[in-house]
Amino acid sequence: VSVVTVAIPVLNGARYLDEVLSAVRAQRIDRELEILIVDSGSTDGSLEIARRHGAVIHEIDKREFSHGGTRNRMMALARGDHVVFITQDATPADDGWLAALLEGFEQADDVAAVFGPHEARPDASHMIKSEMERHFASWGHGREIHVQRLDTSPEGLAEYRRFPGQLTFFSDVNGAVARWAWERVQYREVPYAEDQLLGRELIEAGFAKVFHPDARVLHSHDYPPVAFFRRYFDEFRSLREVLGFRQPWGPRQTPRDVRGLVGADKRWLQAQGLGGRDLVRPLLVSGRHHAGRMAGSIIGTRANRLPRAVRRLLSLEGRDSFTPHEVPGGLLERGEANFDPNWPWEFVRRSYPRREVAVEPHTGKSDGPMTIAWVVPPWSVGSGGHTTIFRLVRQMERRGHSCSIHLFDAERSESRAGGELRDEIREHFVDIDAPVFRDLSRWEGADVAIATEWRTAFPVRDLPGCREKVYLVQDDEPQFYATSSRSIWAEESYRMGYRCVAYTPWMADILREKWGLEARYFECGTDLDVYEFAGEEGRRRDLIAVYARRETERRAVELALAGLATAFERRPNLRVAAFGSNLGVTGPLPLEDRGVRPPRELAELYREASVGVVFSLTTHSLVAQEMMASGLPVVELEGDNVTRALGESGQLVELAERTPDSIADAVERLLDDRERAAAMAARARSFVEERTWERAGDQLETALREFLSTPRSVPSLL
Amino acid sequence: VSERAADPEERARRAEEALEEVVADRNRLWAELQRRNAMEADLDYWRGRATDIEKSRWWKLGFPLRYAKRFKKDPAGMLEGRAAAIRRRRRGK
Repeated sequence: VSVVTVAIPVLNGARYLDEVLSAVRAQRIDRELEILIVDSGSTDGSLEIARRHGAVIHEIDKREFSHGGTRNRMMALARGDHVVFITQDATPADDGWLAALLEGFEQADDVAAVFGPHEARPDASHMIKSEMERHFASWGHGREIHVQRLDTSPEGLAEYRRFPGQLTFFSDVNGAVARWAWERVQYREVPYAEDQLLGRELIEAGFAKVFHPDARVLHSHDYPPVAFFRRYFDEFRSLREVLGFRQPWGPRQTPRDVRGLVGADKRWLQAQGLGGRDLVRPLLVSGRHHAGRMAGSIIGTRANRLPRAVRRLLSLEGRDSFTPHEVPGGLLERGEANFDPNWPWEFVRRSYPRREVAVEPHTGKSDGPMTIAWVVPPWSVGSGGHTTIFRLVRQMERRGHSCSIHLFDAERSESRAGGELRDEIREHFVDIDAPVFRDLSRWEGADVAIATEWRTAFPVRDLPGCREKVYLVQDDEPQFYATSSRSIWAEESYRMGYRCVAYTPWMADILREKWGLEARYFECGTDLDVYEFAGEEGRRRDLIAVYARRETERRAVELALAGLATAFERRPNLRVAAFGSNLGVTGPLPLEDRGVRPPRELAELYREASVGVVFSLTTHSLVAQEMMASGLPVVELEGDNVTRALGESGQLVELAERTPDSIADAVERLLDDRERAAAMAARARSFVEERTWERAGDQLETALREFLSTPRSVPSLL
Repeated sequence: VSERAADPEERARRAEEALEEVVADRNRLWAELQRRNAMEADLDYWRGRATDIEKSRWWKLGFPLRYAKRFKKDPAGMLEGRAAAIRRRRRGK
């Protein structure tokens, strides 16, 4: 038969000890019961009472006693696998108390400790009775078994740091500890609140703790008002030392808190049948008690600021020390400054294990208007990628489809409301109708959900209520980043089984050939009203326009400037106008930095300059297309992304190898042979004229309908 | 003439039309729901912002100034409002 030990530290506890031990002996359990008493010098007959009840007694010197140390000693002396701690004035309320505590351990394999409620003794004041009821109603509403465990997700840890007491509370006035748990986490030798510290360490070690409502003991203290204040000073000083708790206060908050506690007492008294004038006196007593309690807690949790002599004066136990206790590795202290519950990449971590996009089964109906939800990353005014997205949204709206736009802002860089974001889109991008949401919290599903960038691919994959999930791939994003987490994660977005609509056939080929994805493509339009064609007349022979958005590495701005510097060495009369960057552009040649300009000003520059230099290493650039629309001969870098879209060198653009000399050569060829450059510019304009936004909209709509017409799964007829 | 007796092609056409209407209706409702959700989300956002402002130390510190400003503007109205609030509270009791 296994053994359970009831362990009681005793010092002059004769007042209740007989009652307590009788109630312990009367417990109905199917185990052997051991009563273990450690006495630290009683002189009131406590030892005789203990002997009469057959307790195992260990006597120690009073100076050896400490709340934590003595209980560790009792754990070591006890024979039981579970050791129940009560105090010499805590009487089990009935004969099922011990069985209830033991039942708590059966709730899970990892239950390290079980505690039960304290019920105030009949002669206790109404404040104490009401407070105890409220306190123990925090777990399982005071009526149900409640298992507590630490949620180690960032949100769970943040919640724990805000309100640790809900998880850490443990009381060895009425609590039990499993031996296996104590062998891992022991009591600490602290002057007070050793049980709170044990509760905290057990929870932080990842063990479970259980509240059992039927494991009740009768236990309460009543003191005169000043003594209550001093006791609360002691209690709350310890909570500060052990848990770092600080009682909040303020000229408005503290009276409000006291009023709240008195109000709770009032409700409790009313529930006991008191009303009218009978409430006045008890509530005045409540007011005095809670004011004293609040003062004790506010001063106690700031006891570190008091001189020793004052601490001794305020303490009921006469203790003058303040010793903050650091739990090794305790989550409340460990790396507080480095803990970020809003870590921006948490969405990636949560996206594993790998899974395919979630879509609803459907019949394959693909005609008629669709509902389309676009998920976009944060933008800044002038963002080319977002301009394309919003133009496509507009194109879909013009075709009768209903759209909504949802921001996915993992880095929490956007603080504006959805309405403000919508206003910005309408003012600086395109006049859309779609409502804009600042997050995904009000997601309602749609026929098609569209991810528009690698980060958005992660949440869109799992969003519910969609017939199809599509990935609008404007660029080969893994190439944006140096070998890094981001490049790995951008690649990961290609492994989710999205159906893709890529910008340019080149990108669609990559998705198909390298990643095995189903991919269609669209080709961007150009705003021909803004970028009007201009011939040779009016162009300045010495002016080169270079796209120098150095914020974007893939634009190879340094290489462009190196090439232009070489060209400048050969032709010192060249003037270079750089544009597109907010960071300021400098280079090894005289530059005119025009910064980020609105489209109409850019169009003017394109009509004025003789050569445009614009590079993009990962796709075909829209800026190049706008230059082509304006009749400006363009120098681009050789590469599959460009030749697949624009053909061989000299056909639509002049191609340069990836060296400064070759870039300078290409610029010079265009400057020297204006007839050839003009013919190329005319062909380029025709090319661009074919690529309207209507055409891009048609390409996207066709792709979406094709995807919908071939559902991944169809509804079961059963 | 009953539905059963109608020409199958005609029935199919009618069914198509009905389906189109349903889809159009569904899209209209979806768009309406999105608009309403967006408005509610904005409302929540601005409520949260207002609460943040009211909780801020600067707002609390400014309370006496704002109170004095309101009092200076309409002392009678302020006193009447205060009296009405006290009366309401008493009646509530």
